[in-house]
Amino acid sequence: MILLTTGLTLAGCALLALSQDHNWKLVTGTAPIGRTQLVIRVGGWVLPGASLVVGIAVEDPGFAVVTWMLQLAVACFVVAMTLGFHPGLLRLVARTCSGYRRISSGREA
Amino acid sequence: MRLHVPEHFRQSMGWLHTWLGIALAAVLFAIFWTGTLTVFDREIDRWMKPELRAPTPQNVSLDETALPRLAQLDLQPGSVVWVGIPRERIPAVRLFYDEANGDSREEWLDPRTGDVIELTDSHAGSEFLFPFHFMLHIPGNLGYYIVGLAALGMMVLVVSGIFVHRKIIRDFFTFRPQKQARRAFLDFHNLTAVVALPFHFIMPFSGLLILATTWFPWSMAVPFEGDIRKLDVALLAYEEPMIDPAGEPGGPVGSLDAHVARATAMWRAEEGRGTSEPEWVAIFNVNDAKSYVVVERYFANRRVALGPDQIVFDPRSGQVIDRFRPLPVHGVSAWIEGLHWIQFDHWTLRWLYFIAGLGGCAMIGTGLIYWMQARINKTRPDPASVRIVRAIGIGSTMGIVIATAVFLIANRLIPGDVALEGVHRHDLEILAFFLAWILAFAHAAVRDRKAWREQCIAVAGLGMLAVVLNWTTTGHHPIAAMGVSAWSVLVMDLVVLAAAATALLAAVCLRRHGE
Repeated sequence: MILLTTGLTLAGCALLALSQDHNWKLVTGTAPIGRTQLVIRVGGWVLPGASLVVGIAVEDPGFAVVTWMLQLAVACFVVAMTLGFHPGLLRLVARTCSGYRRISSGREA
Repeated sequence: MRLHVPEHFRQSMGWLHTWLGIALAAVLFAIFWTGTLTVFDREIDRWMKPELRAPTPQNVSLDETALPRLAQLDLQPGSVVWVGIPRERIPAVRLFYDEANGDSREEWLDPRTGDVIELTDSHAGSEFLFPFHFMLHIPGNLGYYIVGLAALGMMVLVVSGIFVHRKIIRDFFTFRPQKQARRAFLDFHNLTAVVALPFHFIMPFSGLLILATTWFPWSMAVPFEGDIRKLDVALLAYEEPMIDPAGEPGGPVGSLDAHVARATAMWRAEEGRGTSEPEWVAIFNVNDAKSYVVVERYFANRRVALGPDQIVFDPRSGQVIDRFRPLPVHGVSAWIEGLHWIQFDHWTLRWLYFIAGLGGCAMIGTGLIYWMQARINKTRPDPASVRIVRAIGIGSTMGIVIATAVFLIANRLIPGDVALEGVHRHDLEILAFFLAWILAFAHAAVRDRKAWREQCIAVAGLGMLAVVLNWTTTGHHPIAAMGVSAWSVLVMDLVVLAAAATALLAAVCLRRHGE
């Protein structure tokens, strides 16, 4: 279960980061498109929320909230480090969100 | 998200954040560092006291371990005996009792045989690092007051830091290592601060709450007619006898296992199968006609809240004579205190606390470095203020890490039978810790910029040496530790090695970028 909540939190944070124009451009090399950005932003809020719901469903709400809060912190840190050192690693997430269109290598910019 | 605050207010907050941070950085780092290590205090105990490395057996009988030992002891009549039930992280039966001559004693018993374990004389994690976290080992109450003020300062730093940031959401994901070093350090400071903002606020707040009776004893005691003992009894349960001893000899207290089983059944009936296990059994008015037994646990139904839940038994009839649960008003503070104490069995949360604690250390360290970088001009010698802050900064950050490594090494090198007039073995370990720390400060003052890299190399070397010494003195190299299920030793060795590797990497980076 911890893997599921961690995965949801990490994916959510990656989407939240990509929903920022400068991060999207850093990863993909292209300007963000309105519809894709909406999908990413909604996903970025929904996935961490889902992680919290799953946590509360399987253990004491107190533990779930504290665990979620710290998972979120670690996930944000990991995403920030990825953007700092290897932004290309997030290209797969960006491609998935944009339906595998418009993003080639991310080196155009 | 942009915080719309007047510019002059932002500047005032920036000034406050900078100078309060500089003033408190050293003590805050020490508190954060020891607090982070305390998350695994019992595991450090097991590393430093190899007699405790065996896994905890299931279904330990107190009747076969604690009671035979208690029968051998000359206990002070009418006193209290506490029996700690072995748990996953504490693999022994613990006895705390008063001898007939009034001396208080502590013994650890083998949970399989009941034999007294001759432990390595070390204060290790739970008796050195843990108290250091909240009282800095300064005699009297001064250490508590310093830590209290630092905690208060930390909360001010967190709030002022929020106002200093113009774009707090953007900071969630901003780290630019390719920019100049000063910018990268500020990014890292912002990142580690912002992602764990609730943690950085709740920890000092809960710490202040835990020791509120130390900092504000009179105001806390007002509702109890100024009597702090009454306050403790109301909040913390039966630490004091509730029935006066008869003054006449009494019979045995019967089966402790039966009382434990009964208490567990009662809790299970209330909460279902997932209920938590009892942690302590206390025999009040021992060897007296009015003795009674208390079975206690601290984390009801595996929840965050830390609060005693006690069932009191009459040992003669086996009847429940009382039940203590904290007052409802204690509920909120019990939750917040439980959050800080982290004594519950939740390994995921334990590791997350450890990581967040390291993040806090990194936040303080990078904040200090940023302050210095902002005042360094490569064409001129560093100003005195920078040199002083650098020496204090290196000594208080890298220095305490070096001191901790030396503490571990001293633990493995000092012989068990060392006999010095009036000096215990554990005192020598602590002496090694403080000597190493003082030397680190002195080295930082003398070596100036080069001290960062040299102390990183020292951390790497000492960390590896600690692991090697653990291997040579106990035979528990990582693979052997795995073989005997000494997981705490294995993981601790790996964490120390990871810290050594990180320090080595930092030293290489510093060399590459000209200190």
